[in-house]
Amino acid sequence: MRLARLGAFHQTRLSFLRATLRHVWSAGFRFAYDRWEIGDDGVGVAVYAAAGPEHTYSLVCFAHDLDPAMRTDRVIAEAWDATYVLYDGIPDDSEIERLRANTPKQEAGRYRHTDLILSRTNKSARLFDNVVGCLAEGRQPEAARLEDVGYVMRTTAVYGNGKFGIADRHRYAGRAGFGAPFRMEMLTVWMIRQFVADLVDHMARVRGGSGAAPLDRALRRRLGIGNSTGLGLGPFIVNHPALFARWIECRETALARVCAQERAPSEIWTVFRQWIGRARADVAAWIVPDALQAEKIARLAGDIDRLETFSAGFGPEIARPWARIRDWAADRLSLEGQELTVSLLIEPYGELVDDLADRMAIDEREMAPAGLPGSVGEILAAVEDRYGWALEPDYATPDAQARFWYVSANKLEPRLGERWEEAGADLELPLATGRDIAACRADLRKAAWEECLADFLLRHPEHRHVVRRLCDPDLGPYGQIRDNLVGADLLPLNLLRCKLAFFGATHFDPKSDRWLRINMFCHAPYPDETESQPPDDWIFPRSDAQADALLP
Amino acid sequence: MLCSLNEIQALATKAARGAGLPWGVADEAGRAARWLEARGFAGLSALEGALDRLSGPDWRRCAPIPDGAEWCAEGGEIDGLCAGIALADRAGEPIPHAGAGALVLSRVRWPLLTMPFLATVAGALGERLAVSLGPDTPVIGVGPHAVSETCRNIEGLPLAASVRVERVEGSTALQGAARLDGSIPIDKEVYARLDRRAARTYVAESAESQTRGAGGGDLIETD
Repeated sequence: MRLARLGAFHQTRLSFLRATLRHVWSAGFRFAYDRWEIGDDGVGVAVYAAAGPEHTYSLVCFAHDLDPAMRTDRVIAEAWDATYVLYDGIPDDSEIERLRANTPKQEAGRYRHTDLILSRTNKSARLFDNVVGCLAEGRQPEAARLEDVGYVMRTTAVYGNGKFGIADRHRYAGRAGFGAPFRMEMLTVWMIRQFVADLVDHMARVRGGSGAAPLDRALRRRLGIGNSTGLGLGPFIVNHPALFARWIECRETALARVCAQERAPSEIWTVFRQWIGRARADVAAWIVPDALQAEKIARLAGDIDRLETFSAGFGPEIARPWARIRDWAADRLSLEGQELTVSLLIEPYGELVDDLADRMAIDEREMAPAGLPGSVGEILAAVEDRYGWALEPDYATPDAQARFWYVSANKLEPRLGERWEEAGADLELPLATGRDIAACRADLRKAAWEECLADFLLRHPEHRHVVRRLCDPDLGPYGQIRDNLVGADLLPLNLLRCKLAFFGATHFDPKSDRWLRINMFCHAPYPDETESQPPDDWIFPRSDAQADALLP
Repeated sequence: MLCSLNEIQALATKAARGAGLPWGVADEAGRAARWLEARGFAGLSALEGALDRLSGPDWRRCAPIPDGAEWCAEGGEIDGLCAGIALADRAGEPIPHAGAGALVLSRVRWPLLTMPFLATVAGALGERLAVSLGPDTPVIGVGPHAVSETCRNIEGLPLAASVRVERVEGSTALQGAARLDGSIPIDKEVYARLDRRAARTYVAESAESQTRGAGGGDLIETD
């Protein structure tokens, strides 16, 4: 669980957006417009209803006229091209008016428990006007240009779980299909993608009249929803160690199940080999300006070629072929290549692993359970035995504590500061897990071996957050990121990449060491295609022949 | 104003931290406030009251000295939050069985804050607890994850002369206060005061750190 490896993760079929679509298909959700009141100026409100077997969810969309000089993806923004709420049920006129008064203000608005998710998008200035212009003239935009950007709008935040008064997650976590993490968020983003596609067609009709063409469906599927993500995402996997441990455990379990197969059925072997080809095509379209990531992608492309050559050297008749590929990859490929291999090994085995996607949530306790097990001596022995990664750095050196995490007063979002250059380190967030474990260990060593932990914490309340983490039985082997999260060599992007891979994002595009752009649902079917497209055969692009076979 | 439970927990945690409590203690305060508000009890208000004493450099003098069957604090008054934490850490170790007397906490400030922790103790012991604050106050029943409606009598109580806790024989079943499910009404003034404490955990940014801390690069999107 080193950060460099976590930062090389790719989506898998357990990723949240893919599992969400599988649920939407299997539950038989039906999608419909409830309202389309977007004017010729592209401003107004639209409502989409997603009707499931027990509940209906409405995406309430507000389209705005945004001055391009105000268009920033960063959290410092105060206005956006479009803003959204996923609403529990179907909103009546008074609810629409309440949402109209708050949603465009995003964080500055107030919301209720009927409002499940809050989000906003900005246009890709590169692509939105180009696509609308082409369609208005009755012609389709160039496919290469669509793929170059990958989306015509990108979300800049997707808020859930009680933020600004919206529903706490537990309100809907008991509903079938929505207990697993971030399903409601993923449903929202996917429905936003439908709105964006409809808005493009609408604006083309406004501009081109009867001569305008709708966006071709095959081209349309090449567009995902972009996303800009910054440090706000970073602390989550540190602050929710038991949940994060479950995510990793499920992923490892899926891989273990596949690798335990003694033989590979020939049809699965064929699918695996096809997916190698599809991954190659996807990586070829993953072009980023960031030099470090570009170098990793180049090595990954080479790794895919080597994987194809290696797996061509034997057939499915060999014993335990998947374990053999996994072990070979661990020895021969880059971290990116190893982790993509994990995704590819899992990919053909939906029937074997997809149940794990529903087990990726935990029941986070309201209160910590009573009782701190063990004595000072016992916990000290455990720390010295298992936390070498935390004890190894010399925290007295400036580089070992070069950074600090804090919450900015301006936007109330996590930030990363330079400890020796900026003020505010006295207000740092408790994310320096390794350093804090080392500090706790120093005081444990001064305490009596047999002292109970309750008494130790009475004398040292400053170590309570560390002792809680050390004693949490739910953390298991995957609950700790075994790296110094405040060191000079920290690459915070790795924290973001890991979480985004679990979401199911692709085409990670770093813009600095602490924010990046991604694509979500690229190549996926739309809500208006649930009857004509399969739910989960799209994450890497199909060849043209494969895609044609699926067209209605 | 109406708040989500997550907002309540986040506000309480940050306010406790802003008052100067260590992160781990602040986390317990946040959980306790949420637990109470989810059952319709004014947890934020009690915490706001408690933080007046807990915000001083000598706040540890408000922690109980767990010695025998009667606990007191070095500072003369035990803080309800600190009492709860100490009881939960010990999984109710010193609370006697029914008929064998009671654990007495002497002079407890904001005893409401102790209740969520006693509920975890009841869960660990698999027994109900009876909490008594004197002959004029109805006994409060505490079960695993639940507290009786009589807890409402101590909602605004800043100081109890004593809090007696004992185990109750028989069933752990308890008709607890009803759970609320979001959009919790919170007093605006209490929210504002806690928000001011929470603001002490934020770092004011310079123009440079605002850009650098958020990731650098151009701020206005042109692509």
